[in-house]
Amino acid sequence: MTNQPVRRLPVHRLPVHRLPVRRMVALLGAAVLVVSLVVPSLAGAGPLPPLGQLLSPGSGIWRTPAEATAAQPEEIQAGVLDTTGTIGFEPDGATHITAGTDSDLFRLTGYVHARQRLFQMDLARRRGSGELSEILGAAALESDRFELDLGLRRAAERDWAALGADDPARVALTAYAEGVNTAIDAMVDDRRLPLYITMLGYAPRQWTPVDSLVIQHVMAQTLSFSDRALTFSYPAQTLPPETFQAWFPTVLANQQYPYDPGPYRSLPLEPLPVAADPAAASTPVLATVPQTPGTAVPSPTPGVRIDSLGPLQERLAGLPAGAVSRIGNSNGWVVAGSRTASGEPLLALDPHLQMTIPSPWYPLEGRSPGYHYSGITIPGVPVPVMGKTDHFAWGMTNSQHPATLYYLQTTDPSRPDQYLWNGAWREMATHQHRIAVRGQDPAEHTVRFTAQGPVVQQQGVTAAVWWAGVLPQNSVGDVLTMLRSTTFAEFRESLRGWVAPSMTFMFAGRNGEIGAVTPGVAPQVQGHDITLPLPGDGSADVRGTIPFDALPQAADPPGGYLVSANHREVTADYPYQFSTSYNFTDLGWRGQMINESLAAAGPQTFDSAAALQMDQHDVLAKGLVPPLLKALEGAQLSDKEREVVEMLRGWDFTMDHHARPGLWFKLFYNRLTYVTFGPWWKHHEVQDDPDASLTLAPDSGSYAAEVMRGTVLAWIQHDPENRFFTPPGGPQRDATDVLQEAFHQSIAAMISKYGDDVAAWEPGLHRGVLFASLFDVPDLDVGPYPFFASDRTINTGIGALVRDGDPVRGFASAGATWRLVVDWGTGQAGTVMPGGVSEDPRSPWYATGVEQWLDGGLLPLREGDAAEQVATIRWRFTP
Amino acid sequence: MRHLRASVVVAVVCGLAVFAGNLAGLWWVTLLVGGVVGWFARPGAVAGLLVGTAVAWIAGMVWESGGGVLPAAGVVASLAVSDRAFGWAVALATVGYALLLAGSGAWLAAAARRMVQRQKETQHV
Repeated sequence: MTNQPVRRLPVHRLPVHRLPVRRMVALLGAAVLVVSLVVPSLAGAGPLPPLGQLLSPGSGIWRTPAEATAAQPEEIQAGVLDTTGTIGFEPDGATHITAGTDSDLFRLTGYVHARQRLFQMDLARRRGSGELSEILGAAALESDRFELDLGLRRAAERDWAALGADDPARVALTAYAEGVNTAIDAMVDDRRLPLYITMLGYAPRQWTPVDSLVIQHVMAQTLSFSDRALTFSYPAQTLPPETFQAWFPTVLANQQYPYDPGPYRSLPLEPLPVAADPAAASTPVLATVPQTPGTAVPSPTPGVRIDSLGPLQERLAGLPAGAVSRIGNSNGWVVAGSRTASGEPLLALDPHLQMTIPSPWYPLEGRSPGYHYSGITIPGVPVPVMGKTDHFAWGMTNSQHPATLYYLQTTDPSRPDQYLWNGAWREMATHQHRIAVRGQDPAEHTVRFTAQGPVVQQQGVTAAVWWAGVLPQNSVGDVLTMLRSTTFAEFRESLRGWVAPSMTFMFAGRNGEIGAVTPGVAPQVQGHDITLPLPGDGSADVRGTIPFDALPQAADPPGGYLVSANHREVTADYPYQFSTSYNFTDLGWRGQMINESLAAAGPQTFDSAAALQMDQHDVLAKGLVPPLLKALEGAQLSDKEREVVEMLRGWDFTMDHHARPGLWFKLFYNRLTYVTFGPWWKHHEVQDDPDASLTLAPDSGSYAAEVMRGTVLAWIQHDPENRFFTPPGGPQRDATDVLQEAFHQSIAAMISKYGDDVAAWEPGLHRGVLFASLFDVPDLDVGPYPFFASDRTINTGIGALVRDGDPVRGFASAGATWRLVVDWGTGQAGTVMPGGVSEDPRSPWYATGVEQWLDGGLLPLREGDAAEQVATIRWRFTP
Repeated sequence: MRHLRASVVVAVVCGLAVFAGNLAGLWWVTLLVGGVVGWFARPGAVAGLLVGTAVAWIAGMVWESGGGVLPAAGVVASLAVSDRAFGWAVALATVGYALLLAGSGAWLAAAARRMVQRQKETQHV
């Protein structure tokens, strides 16, 4: 054996297929990052829209539409036009349209509406159509369900289908939609959609004539869909009938000035369908009564189920602002030449609504071969709603017709979806809807109908609603006819077919005439009070409406003026069912103030009318403070109370932000109502309702308390020993005792709330006016500005803003959304609107007019050549 | 110096491509450009990519908003967080988003390239 070393064979390194772990991890990490970026970029995430489109400079939030900056002259080719046209803008955005044909006028109106207000228009049509959830998510689902129940879109589709091929309304609505779509197409092609739409990450669908009709119904809902019958079903069933009548009389106890004092015509009713909504057409009879005793839920009778409508009230209280009519709407007066300095008629008008930015209105002048008008339009609707033509100036104020009837149905748990009507069980008709909801699966919704209308409450008692707003109508056609009127007779006749909302139309003619008429369906029910919930068994079905010729109206009155400020238009002698003190939001305070001012004043001028629009005297203070001061004579008062008394002696009853008594007065009248009625309220166990319209609290108001203020004022003035001054089981009291007690309490409350330095009681330090942004974003609101008024002052201020379900205290957010004065003698016409024509917060025309509105100034309403010289920013259109 | 010059070239080329893509409303061009750089260029070129992307997006924001970047951002901040003062954050977030798009595109492409190269190396052995 040799010790030779072992010779190793050469070893070749063999390939080893090791996994490149680090590289795979890197690849995986990169892939995860890219996917986590691409998915939200393409499809969005949660509430976020697709981020790619949103953030890209070329398509999203940075790609600013022209409307976000000062408007520039443009040359626009629009194939839909018949001929050339122009839209001119004054430096403040005031808009003037000149069109070669009538259809082009409505096309250009649609175009400019869409360019400046597309998101507002889209929100409105979606709200009325029950499609808000598609862009806003589940938060809007209840609103969508309710609107689908109410049926605005059903009504709009039906009304559109009923229009003849050559109906002027069809022509106008079609042309308007073409104009809107021209603007939408351009915005989509150019990837310059309104910022709100970009933020929400959706593309607006094409506009249709039905959309315009939906928006018209949305405005009708805001003005006339009421829940007062539900609210007052509580005290109506709790209080003894004579007490209820004494506190909530048919005609208010405070001074009333109906514009139509009679005599009245008593004509046979014009027929109306049992169901306002034809979708609630008769349903098959399934069986005849009687049913098994004890199983049926009977129709309501007085004194039962006080809180049976609570679920419906809660449902309505949760709807967006404007879904239920809650605020008084508008002042309007016309003065004949016999009472004007110019010798020709004069019109003054200021419609009251929620004061939003942008405004609910779009002001413009429209000129075509067949029309010429200047006034306000509703974005989404082709025709003006108030303004002036070459022959007359007109305005509208909300009327007091009850137009919303609630029916409580007789049902049986063993018979689901059936109800008893006219002695037979009937099956409810149903409509199925699938509601698209952003960020989640679609929601199913079934609309049920009884003979009277859609079912709006199913928990406990089944309730259906009859609302005049969904009756067949052609309001656009009515307005188009009206715009061609030259006399009051023609004007009045053009409104003969007007259905809803019921409004008082004021007329001041260049021909020297003045007039007013309150058209609109006014349902009549035999043997039942239409201002409270009605039995749905057929005994309280609608029998007809007041005929047009018997509705309130007046022309060239001997007094030389007519005033409509939402107060009751007729006296107690009116031979039809009409409003009561508690089924409408205005109690006649503003009407009283305007009437008394006009009666006392000399010849009216443009300036005096503008000044009266800004008047902030409170007629309740005028009525209450003198008897209070008298009641305090000889009373034992503290030093502070004496200081306040001295302050009151010099008060002219103005409620403005400098007037220190104003803040005290607000507390005082709340205390007065509370001291007078509070003990009775508790005694009869009147319950609060879900939206606090019945709340009787020492330091805050409510709708019921406002009605009772009128009642207690009348007692103090005319019946100081009224038995209700004495609390149940309490010591004898009279008006003097109650006034003194309310005064003592109010001073203590003021000191507790604002300190004992009267200088700190200046309302402007504690109150303001706020113009809420369209999207309810506080940061985009305009204001607050120092402002103080009441819902009784002509220049009104109402705190109607609700955010996140809670009222925003301390700010007026509803009031005059536009002011117009026209004097046919001098040719002066002036207007102001708080808020500009643009909905884009970046636009210089976003908050235009707010300062002038606060100051009470009117801007000249320019037309024709005068406008031509000023409206130098022009969009020129060619077909 | 040569690297710097290359980075500048990458920044300019990428910036122009991204800017053009943005003007056409094509946000994904930024991702794509990042991918191209990540695939073909040296790692050092990524700096040029990011600079070019940031400049292109900022230029696009200024161009498209008509110089009103902060007013536009302020309104978006109002809608998003109810405070206009946070507009700068919206602008910053937009640029950050752009850089993420470009950077992640580059990273993914570079990682994919390395994987492919590895596979090629393996096959050649």
